[in-house]
Amino acid sequence: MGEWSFLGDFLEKVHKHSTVVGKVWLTVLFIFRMLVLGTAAESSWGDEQSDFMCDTQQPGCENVCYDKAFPISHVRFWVLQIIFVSTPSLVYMGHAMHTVRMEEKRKMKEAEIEARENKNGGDTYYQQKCSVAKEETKLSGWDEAGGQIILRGSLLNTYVYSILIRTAMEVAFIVGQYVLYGIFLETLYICQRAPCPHPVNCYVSRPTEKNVFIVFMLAVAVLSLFLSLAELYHLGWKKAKERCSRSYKASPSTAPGRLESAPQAERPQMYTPPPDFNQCLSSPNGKFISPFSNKMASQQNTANFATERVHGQEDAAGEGPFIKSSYVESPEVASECAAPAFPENYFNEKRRLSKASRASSKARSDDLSV
Amino acid sequence: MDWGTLQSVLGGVNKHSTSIGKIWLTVLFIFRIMILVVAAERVWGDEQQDFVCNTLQPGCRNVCYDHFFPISHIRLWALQLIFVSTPALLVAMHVAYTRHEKKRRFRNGEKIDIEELKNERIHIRGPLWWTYTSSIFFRIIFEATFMYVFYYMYDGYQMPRLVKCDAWPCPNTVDCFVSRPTEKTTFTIFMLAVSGICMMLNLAELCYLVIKICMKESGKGA
Repeated sequence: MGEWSFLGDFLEKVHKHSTVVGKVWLTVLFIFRMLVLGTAAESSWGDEQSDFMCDTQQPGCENVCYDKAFPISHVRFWVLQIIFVSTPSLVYMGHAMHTVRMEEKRKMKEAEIEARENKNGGDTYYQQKCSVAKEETKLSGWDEAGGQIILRGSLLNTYVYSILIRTAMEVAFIVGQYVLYGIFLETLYICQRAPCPHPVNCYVSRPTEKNVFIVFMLAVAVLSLFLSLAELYHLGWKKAKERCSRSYKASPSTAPGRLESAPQAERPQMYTPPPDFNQCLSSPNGKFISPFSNKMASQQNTANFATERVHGQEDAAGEGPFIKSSYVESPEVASECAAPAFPENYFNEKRRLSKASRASSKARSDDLSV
Repeated sequence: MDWGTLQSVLGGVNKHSTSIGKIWLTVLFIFRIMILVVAAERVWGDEQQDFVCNTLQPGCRNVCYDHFFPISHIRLWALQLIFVSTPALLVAMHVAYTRHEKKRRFRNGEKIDIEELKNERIHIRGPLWWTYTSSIFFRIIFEATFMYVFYYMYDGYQMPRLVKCDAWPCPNTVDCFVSRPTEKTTFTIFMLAVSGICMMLNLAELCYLVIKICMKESGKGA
């Protein structure tokens, strides 16, 4: 397994940022494919050419017959299969790392803004920071409160594409194996190729043992394919749910901080809705007309609305198809916008929750570790 | 062959590379070094044992093998990978030198956070830009050179099944059969394709660095 450590190290990082099904898939890859290949299959195929016997004394006949029977050895074929099937995950991980780096750069910029604001002084500092934070959180898919990468937006798309490509590769290699060798190896191979003088009987080394491994590796490939499809279905279903919920939700996506910083312009549109009020109301442009004409009441409503929006944001972060996977290298940052901090390595798949509820009804901490 | 040492050295350089540089490093380790170690070495493992010649003349087989395979593909690839990775060591040395200078200034009394210095990501500008760019340039040169050497030495990238040999002491032109030619051709083409990809990545990185510095210069001038 030492030789596989190059790939193993990269995939360990991918393991942290995957969904539950993704982690199961990676475990299957590590244990049932890499380990079995490295330890058992290699030694079974070790003498494949030296013990490939042909019923002829003609020099060179055995070489050419072996070459015709096995254009590429099963073991090498599986090595290529594992590498190509793992590659899309690496692409996804690259994107995730890139996202993290963008977040770090954004934090550095914020720190600079903070330094500048502190010099100038001003009440708008916190509001600006919150507004920028919340706005860019939605864009980048990074939950500052939990120190986790949330799979949404472009990152979710990359993840889905990586699974699609992985599935395609898996199918291609399974079909390729069938086209090259069929399913089972025959003991006897009849060979007619120069310089063999006539059709010659050639005998494959250890055919039964090889068949056992071939069937095993085929079964594991089909299992991996099934896991990939299950993950796709799961993500696709969640995404469809998100789209449905988005089409009902017509509220604007402005952050509470910004509301507070620009109360004058937006006050006429502010109001205090009851929970799920926005689901009852549907308007094409998502703007609500305030029923209140009283200025003081309107101001109080603005504050109430802002408070509700803060709670709504953190719940909204857990709604829909957002699959949280923890990113342990990041430090836990307490957000000034009062979202609760999630513990590290906390994997959570949230369903739609009532606005009043804070905690997930489906907390999962049964991550598989390889 | 212990590639772990190379991985630890290049891993350090990875921190200070551009994104394209990081992709290049990943491709190098997974698609080249790993394939070499896990698959290709086994394919070429029995290349001399199973090199069969249609003669009983002692020594003829040895001489013919040596004539057609002056240096095995595996060893050539290992050399290629070492040469291609070496320029990154230049960058590592420069970074180490920069850090050493900062430590020296710290010892002379300047206020520098020594812990931060260890983890600091040094940006590619100034003299480091020149070191980095020249390392990429040398990488491209080495890749191209080795691709040409392969082509020249083996007359193309396909492994022949049958080679005709009349080197002394073979009594006449003798048929010799290469072991696993199809599999070897597959891997040769695979490694060639990945070399090509690595070269494209290096070219892209070079262009990116040059364009970035030009934009900075024009920004300063404007």
